[in-house]
Amino acid sequence: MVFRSLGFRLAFVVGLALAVGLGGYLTFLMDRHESDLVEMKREEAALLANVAKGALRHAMLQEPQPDLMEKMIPPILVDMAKTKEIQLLRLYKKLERGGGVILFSSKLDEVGNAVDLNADACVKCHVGGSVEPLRNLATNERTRIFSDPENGARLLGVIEPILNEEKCHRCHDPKIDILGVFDVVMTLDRMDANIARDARNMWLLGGAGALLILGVVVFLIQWFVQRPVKELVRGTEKIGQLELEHRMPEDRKDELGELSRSFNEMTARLKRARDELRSFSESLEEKVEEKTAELAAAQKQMVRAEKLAAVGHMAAGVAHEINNPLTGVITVAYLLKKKFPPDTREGQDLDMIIEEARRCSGIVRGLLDFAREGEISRRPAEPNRLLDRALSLVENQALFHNIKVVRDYQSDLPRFQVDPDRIEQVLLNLVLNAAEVMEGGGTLSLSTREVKGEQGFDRAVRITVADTGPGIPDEILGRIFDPFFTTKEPGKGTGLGLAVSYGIVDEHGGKIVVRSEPGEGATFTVYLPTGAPAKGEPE
Amino acid sequence: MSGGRRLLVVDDEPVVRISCQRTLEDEGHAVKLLDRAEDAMAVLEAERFDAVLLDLKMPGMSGLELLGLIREQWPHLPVVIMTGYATRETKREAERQGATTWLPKPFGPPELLDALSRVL
Repeated sequence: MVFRSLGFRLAFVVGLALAVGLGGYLTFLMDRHESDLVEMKREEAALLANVAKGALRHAMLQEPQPDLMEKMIPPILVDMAKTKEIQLLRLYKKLERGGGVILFSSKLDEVGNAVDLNADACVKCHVGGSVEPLRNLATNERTRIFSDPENGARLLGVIEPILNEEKCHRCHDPKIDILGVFDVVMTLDRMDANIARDARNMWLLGGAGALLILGVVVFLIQWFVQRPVKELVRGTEKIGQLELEHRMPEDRKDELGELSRSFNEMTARLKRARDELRSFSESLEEKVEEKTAELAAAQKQMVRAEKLAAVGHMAAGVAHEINNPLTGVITVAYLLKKKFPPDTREGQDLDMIIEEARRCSGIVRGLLDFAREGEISRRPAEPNRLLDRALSLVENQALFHNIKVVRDYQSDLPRFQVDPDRIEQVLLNLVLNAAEVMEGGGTLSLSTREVKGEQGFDRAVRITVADTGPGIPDEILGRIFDPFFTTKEPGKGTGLGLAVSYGIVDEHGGKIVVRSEPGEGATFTVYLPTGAPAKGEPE
Repeated sequence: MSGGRRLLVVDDEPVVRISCQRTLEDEGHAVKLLDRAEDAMAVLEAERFDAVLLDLKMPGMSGLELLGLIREQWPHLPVVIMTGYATRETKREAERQGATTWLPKPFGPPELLDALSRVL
């Protein structure tokens, strides 16, 4: 797992870069260092050769003596060779017959040895062993680095030709341009040791430095990146577990701070969304409860309507048959009546028969009204007009003398699609009931309104008929729409008016409700939906 | 209206037939009674009548059907439709078929004679 961490990877890359960069640089440096040192050694050697040459020239020019060379030069060379760094000093001379000879050497026993022009020392100028050497070579071209055949130590040799100058023509043949060649061989041991030591030091130091840098980098990464990142990760874990209140510190001004900030924003949004979801689901529960209650109420109403329809259906069958026998009864009574003058007992009895038979017929008609199974025929009608018409039918009756009528109509009511006669019948029924219950006088309040969203209707006309009568007690309120239920004395009403009204309103898809407190009168409210206008009807 | 008319009564209920007969004969009219609509056309063709009293609801052929047949043959023959209960639709349909007037049940002699006087 640690190999995947950001810190490790970064450290690894930095380490690699350092290794390559530093290593390359150090190698380059060491290389240069060595080159420089070798160069210096070369110069040193050349210098020494020149010094030797100078000494020799001086001696030669001073006292040209035949055995000067043999006597003077070897000690000089030996002395010079005593310098620690000088391994060997030689003086070569080319032989006419080929090859060369060691004229002088700091190794005294070498003197007189022949050398092949192909030897290491010679071949730089005598390329390929050529008798004629290259001339005017630069110092480094005359330098060779080799290993001591005896002990393998590294040596550096420089060849320094001794030119036949004019002053030398005294003794030397002017046709020869090079009189001899100095070969200065120096040990590179010390140089090598130094180089090695330097290299070691540089590598150690470099390595230490690199490690230090690496350490600092790792620390920095840890401090500035790992720590805050770990915190962020912890924060996201918390949020992952829906602790949406948690917020990360936003104090940093860098990219991590931005990350924190945007993360917090996201968390806030998540929280908002979750809260909305919660409240929505709560309100959903509420709505479900509401709708369930509405459904239960609607079901109750349907059951009642079905009951009424069943009763009505039964009644219709029976009622229809009664009219025929009644025809018989009435006819015969009339015929009998002809035989008795009006003021006789018998005549009056027969009148009673006829009256009661007609009353039966009335009851039957009421029943059949209630059981009406034919379809209602709808037409567009104006609510206010229907209400006024119903009122006008009874306004002038004695019943209404002490009753004040208050109208509160909405003037721009839309029309509704209803069976006008039947709705008028309903309104009439309500108005009559109100009047009857306010016998001594009172106020009849009529109002019409268009309403939206009441009683489960999108759009409906609401008509209220309110009286200032004694009101309806609770125990009666629930039964007031039941068929044959009446609070009037026997003979005064069939108890069908409200039941029939309920049925008619129900058939229109509307609702009729009553509200009342004893002592405060009663208010009957009829809701009738305003459907879409009939085709071709302007709204 | 004076008596002496010839009237046809078609109703499946005996009490209705008898009531009509008693009332009408009392006024001096001649009455023929039928209990099925199917018999009516033959009778109408065989004899001359001044008016027909017809019940709507009868088993077998209904009064409405018979009314249609009568109108085809005798467009001007007065027909009084008797009925226990009529919806607006039934009334409309009857009018469309050519009923001359309407006599709701139950009726007594005054209503019956009134209806007749309207059509004769």
